[in-house]
Amino acid sequence: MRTDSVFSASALQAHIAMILISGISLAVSIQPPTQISALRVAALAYSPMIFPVVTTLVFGLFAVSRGALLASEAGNRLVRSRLVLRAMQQISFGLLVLLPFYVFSRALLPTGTRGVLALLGYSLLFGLFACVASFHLESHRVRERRSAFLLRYTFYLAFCLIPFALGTISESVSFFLSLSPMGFAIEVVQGISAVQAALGCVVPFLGLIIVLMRLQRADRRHHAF
Amino acid sequence: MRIELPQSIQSDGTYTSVIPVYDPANAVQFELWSSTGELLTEATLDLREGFRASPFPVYDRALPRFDDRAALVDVGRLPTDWWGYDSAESVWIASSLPDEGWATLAQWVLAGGSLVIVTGSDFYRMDTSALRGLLPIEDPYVAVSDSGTSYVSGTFAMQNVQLVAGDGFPLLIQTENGAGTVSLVTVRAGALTATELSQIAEHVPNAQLIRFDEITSSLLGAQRVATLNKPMLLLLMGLGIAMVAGVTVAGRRNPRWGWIGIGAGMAVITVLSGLMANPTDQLVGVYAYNTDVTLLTEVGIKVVSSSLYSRTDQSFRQTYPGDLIPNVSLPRTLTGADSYSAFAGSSSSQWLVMPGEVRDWHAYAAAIPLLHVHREDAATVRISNFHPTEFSDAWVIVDGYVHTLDSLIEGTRRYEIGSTGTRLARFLVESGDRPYRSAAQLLDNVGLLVALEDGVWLVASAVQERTAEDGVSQKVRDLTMVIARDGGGMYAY
Repeated sequence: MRTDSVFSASALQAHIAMILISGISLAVSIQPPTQISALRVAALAYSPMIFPVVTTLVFGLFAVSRGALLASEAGNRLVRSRLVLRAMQQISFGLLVLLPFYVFSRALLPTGTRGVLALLGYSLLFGLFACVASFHLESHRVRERRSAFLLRYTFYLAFCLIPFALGTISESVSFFLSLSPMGFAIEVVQGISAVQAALGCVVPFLGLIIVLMRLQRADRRHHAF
Repeated sequence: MRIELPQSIQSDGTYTSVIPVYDPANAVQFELWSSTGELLTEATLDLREGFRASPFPVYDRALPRFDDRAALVDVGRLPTDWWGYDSAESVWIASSLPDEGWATLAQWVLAGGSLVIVTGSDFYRMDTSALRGLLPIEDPYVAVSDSGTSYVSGTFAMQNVQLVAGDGFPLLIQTENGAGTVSLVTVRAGALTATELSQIAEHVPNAQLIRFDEITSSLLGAQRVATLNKPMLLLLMGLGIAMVAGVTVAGRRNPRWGWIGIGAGMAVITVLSGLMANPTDQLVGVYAYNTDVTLLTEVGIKVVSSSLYSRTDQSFRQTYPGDLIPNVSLPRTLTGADSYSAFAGSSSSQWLVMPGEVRDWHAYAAAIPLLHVHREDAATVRISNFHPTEFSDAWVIVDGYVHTLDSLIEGTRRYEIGSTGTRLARFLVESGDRPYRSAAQLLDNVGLLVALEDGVWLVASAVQERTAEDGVSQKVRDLTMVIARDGGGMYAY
């Protein structure tokens, strides 16, 4: 039996964890159905940004963990085309699980359906990149019989935080915000422009291409041996 | 701020307008633009020297300056809009004025102003019908005291006499008028010393213009926000977990069935979640409550208050009918604890407010008398209604007893009010669970300022709900109330 399937016990745990975290973040984003007078004090606690930011970050973590699992179970036996297919299965399944929450959150986001579609599209691309990159890092270490746990999560944190920190330095370099998953989610809530959306997708797209090209070279070396 | 001048004044060459200026720390620049966008002229005024942080008395130049805080003005340069007296603590007039000048002052008094009329032997020089409408005495005439002092007398209630002169004649007669007070000093200005005027001033109340900011804010605060249903979200989470667990079991046996299961199951849950969360209800960025109170006696005033609650950090526009200049109730400036920007114009304001914050503003205007009431006999009133608002509730208050009208139709007609009514106080208490609860709350506030228990009053109100899409989705509630007194006289406005 294939244990790396989307129907494995570890995948079930990851999916349930994702449902719980996203659901709770969505609940925290929703103002209670109370009178306006009761909301004046702490309305900021119910920011509609909480759900997209938390869900995007958690989905990235999910993708990283699924990529690592693929590498540890399949190792170098997976060729590039099979890897992309497996990664697509994992990411699509994860997004399907979260889809009801995204649709539910449409009523919270000022950007409405457009914002939800932007988030879904970005999550698909970013998740695929995180999954494949994590696979790449982990498969290197598997050959060396070591774990890449710290390496892949450091990489993920750096990808999320560095552009975000750079983007907050000043208004002139605010375009860096779009390069970070966190910044992208915030900008979707605020009304993202086409340029910002394209900029946000550039890094995961290019990253995905680069990782796949490196994997292709590795495949060739493997077949040559 | 941008104000569009009407066509008619372009030929006149003179335009006056009262514009609220907040903390004039910087010079204020005025520019006159043509309709084609050409800058015609500009001027810069430094208002720091003339700025006063608190209300002050305004004296006619004919009076000696007996209070250092007072501003002396030529009566010919008094404001032509009643809200121009907004910063006046009291206004003392000792010269004759045209009817328009008295009418403006009458509007200010109706709104809570404090007017002092100083006249004695010169009364006939000042006498006009508009002045007589304001005086706290009826049938005025000039009398002479035993010591030879000329003073104004007439018919008045003794409890209105606040000060008596040494000769025994009433020196200061005072009466409430609308929400304000009119004081009559019965001897001419030249016959009084600064010390005597100071003693009289101690009996003159300060102006307190009516505002409905607090009740408007309270009515807004009582509204419930439309929001998503959290128990439904819990149900979604439960369904999602059950679905994932189910398809994982099915998928282990046959991945194809697993994929079909997750696809179909999530499609059902997704459609369900879409039905649970309707964006047209929940995507309300701004909630606003506007109260528009028109008070009609011999003169008419309009007091508009607005309170808005923002759930968005996006800029939005708030439009209001007619030429209003909003007086924004500002938080203390330069504290750094508050962030907002407002660009106010004469028909709309552009706002940028932090989510979760409330902003209030009020505006004053003159009112056109489109509603008129006259009591014909004990059980009948004649009402002329030409107001554009479709009123949902109307009441006639006769000497403190409320008679409810079934409807208030457009045009002039007679209404039977019956012989028995409900005491105003009881009517307001019993309105707690009625559809017109908010109107009654507002009326209660008006009743605190204006003596609605005396005479015959018509109260008409309407609450309208609407949505606006000026930048962000807005849910707006407008409470319009017109309160007209059976005056029997001509209106000035």
